[in-house]
Amino acid sequence: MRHKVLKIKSLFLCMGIISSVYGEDIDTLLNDFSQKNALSQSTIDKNKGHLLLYTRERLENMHAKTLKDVLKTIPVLQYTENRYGLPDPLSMGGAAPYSSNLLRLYIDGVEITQGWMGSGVIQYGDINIDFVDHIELYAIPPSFAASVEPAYMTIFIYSKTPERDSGGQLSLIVGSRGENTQTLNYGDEKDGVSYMVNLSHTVEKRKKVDNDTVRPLSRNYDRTQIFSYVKTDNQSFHLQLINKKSDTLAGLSYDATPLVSQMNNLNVHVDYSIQLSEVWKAQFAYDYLNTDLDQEDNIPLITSGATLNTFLRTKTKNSTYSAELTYSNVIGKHHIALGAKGRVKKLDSLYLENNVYNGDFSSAFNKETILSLFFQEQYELSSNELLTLGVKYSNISRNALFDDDNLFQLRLGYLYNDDTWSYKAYLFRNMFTIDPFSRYFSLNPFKNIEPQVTVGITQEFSYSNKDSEIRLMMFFLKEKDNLLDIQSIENTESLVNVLTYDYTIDKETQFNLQFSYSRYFDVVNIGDVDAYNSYLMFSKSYGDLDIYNGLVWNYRTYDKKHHFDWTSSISWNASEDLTFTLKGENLLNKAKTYDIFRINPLTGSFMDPLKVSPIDQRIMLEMEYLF
Amino acid sequence: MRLILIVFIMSHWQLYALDKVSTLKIYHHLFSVLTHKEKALVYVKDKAYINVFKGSKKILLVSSPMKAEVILITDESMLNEFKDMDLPKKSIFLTTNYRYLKRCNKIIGALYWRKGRSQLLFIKKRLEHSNIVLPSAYQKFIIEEL
Repeated sequence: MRHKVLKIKSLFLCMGIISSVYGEDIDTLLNDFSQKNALSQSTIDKNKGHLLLYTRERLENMHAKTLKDVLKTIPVLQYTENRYGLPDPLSMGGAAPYSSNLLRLYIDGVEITQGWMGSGVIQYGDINIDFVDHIELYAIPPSFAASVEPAYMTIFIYSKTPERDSGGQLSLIVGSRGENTQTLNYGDEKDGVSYMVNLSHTVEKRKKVDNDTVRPLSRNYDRTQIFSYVKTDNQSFHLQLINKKSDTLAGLSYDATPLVSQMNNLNVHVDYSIQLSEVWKAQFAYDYLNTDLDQEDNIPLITSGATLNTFLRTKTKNSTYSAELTYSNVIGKHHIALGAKGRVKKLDSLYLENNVYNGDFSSAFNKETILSLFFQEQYELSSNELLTLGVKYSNISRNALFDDDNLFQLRLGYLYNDDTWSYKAYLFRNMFTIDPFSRYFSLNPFKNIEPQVTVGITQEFSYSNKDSEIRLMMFFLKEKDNLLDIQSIENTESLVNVLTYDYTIDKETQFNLQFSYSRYFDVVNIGDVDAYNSYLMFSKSYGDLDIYNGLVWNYRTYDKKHHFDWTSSISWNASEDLTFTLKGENLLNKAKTYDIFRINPLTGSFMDPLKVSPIDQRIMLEMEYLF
Repeated sequence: MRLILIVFIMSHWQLYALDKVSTLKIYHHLFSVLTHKEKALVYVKDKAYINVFKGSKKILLVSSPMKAEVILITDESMLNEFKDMDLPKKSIFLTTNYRYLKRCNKIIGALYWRKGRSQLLFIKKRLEHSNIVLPSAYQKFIIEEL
């Protein structure tokens, strides 16, 4: 009896304290705690540009297992592959080995680059992201403090930390076409040292592409991926390795009927960062890429030069060395950042085998060196206004009489932010160059390709309250010597509008909309082209069940076709440690397609392009165990 | 806002700098519920939590676990240190890690992260053992046993 009275007294006392302390209930506090902490990561810097943030919770809600699952939902750009079946969002379907050099990819603040072969997107564009905590995508223009080379869009991937993800995670996935993935992740922290190791193996069986022959095109791959880090308060070390054996779709076949089309890539990335003092930071990175290419057709391949090769086997090794020293300090109302960055891209060796040659090939052009200096000032105009000014100068020197480039970039920005409204505007001038591999092997006989100059103005308005945020972004870009079409050097203009709306109905229910409308002015032989993209997602938890539905819609006035990619998943949390998920991708089988151009070997005329969807229709079953 | 400038100068190693306002609010709420007092004496070793609680008039940090009403276990070394330590019976153990809740019977509950979402969990038998009664709004966070 006495115990019961004590209990009742305790309960009333407790209720009295709680109601007197805060009017908010525990559910509201938990929800607020989740949301605010998701946004509190110091990596999230809205001044780097216009930010699209995929928080850990959103990635989990989407049940995103690869970077491709994320990239396919982002406005304007979206995910596309090239004629080799490799991630290449800026590909136009032509023979260019890689078109997405203007997209840059970072892991934990360090750029992953293929050096000679362009940015890291080609290798990392579809990696398994079980090691990832959150992803930040910054649309133009990025902060100069963040990048060595210029970018249209920077993809910042941040790995899980032991503070929130200590222990292990085992994930097994099997798909309807027999594809399967096994991932093992382990991280912990001891005595101020945190570490994580992530191992992942994927056997991807992609949908075959019919090319009107008995041998449809294949883009299957087998990939082993290792991601690891060790960090202390002021130092970090990363080691990443990707070994990928791929069937490369149409490859170098003119009419998309290759006899053999394969590529093996081994990529190693190592980096070390140290915070030398409160204001000085140094960073070093090394990237190595070994590419074995095997292509064969019964007609000559798409290769440069006069030799008509029906087969081509190459072994290419290239290394990239990056280093930077940066200073960042707040002095009164000024936040000053400045630094020097350097990068050397080196073609280590090239072994070549074709109809007329067999042996090591000594390329005179085998080195590109980039040196950059930047200065950035952010001045606090008032308690909620910032003015930013950034300048960057880069010198790119190439050996073997290839022209050097001097890039001068400028950015002026204004930011306003109060508790509910924010506004930002940038005026900028960026310059881009093509990657060395494309430069050297381009069909363009003029190897000295002018840098692209982009001048633009961007604006962003946003309104947010406790549960929701709505944003409107508007970009106007004017490009001279557009690198995406180096055959017919041209000037282009484009207008891009992006609307995003996030609504957290409660802790278990979330709604998100991303819509974009883009106009590309005076596209050669077509005129103005309008493109519409949207991504609509809804996630809801019912007890032990988590349900997600996401719909991507694309429409272009160019081909007047609507494309829908519906992804749906249901997860059953059997216990705190064990989850089963059933997920369907491209359930309507109407996802966007891209063109692979073909040329008739008999007439030399263009055939109807192959329509290939980068998103396969498939069902997957996953088991995830935390330990 | 000055917050804009402050964000700029943080280095990327401080990935999970806790959001001060929401973290203070929820922990104050929890400590009040557990101790039945508006002000709680708390012992924690983690720098990030010390930075959040420092200066609070309602969460009073103490330098010795012997003086604490609530001990917040945030890492493995702290868990090992307190697992077998003799402390006053009234001491309440809370953790930020679900695995520690499984491994140590002294810990009555956890506020932890699971797949990007914050989770709150209390073990009924351990609450009873510590004579802690939680308000009805907390009943959905209480489970019989792990």
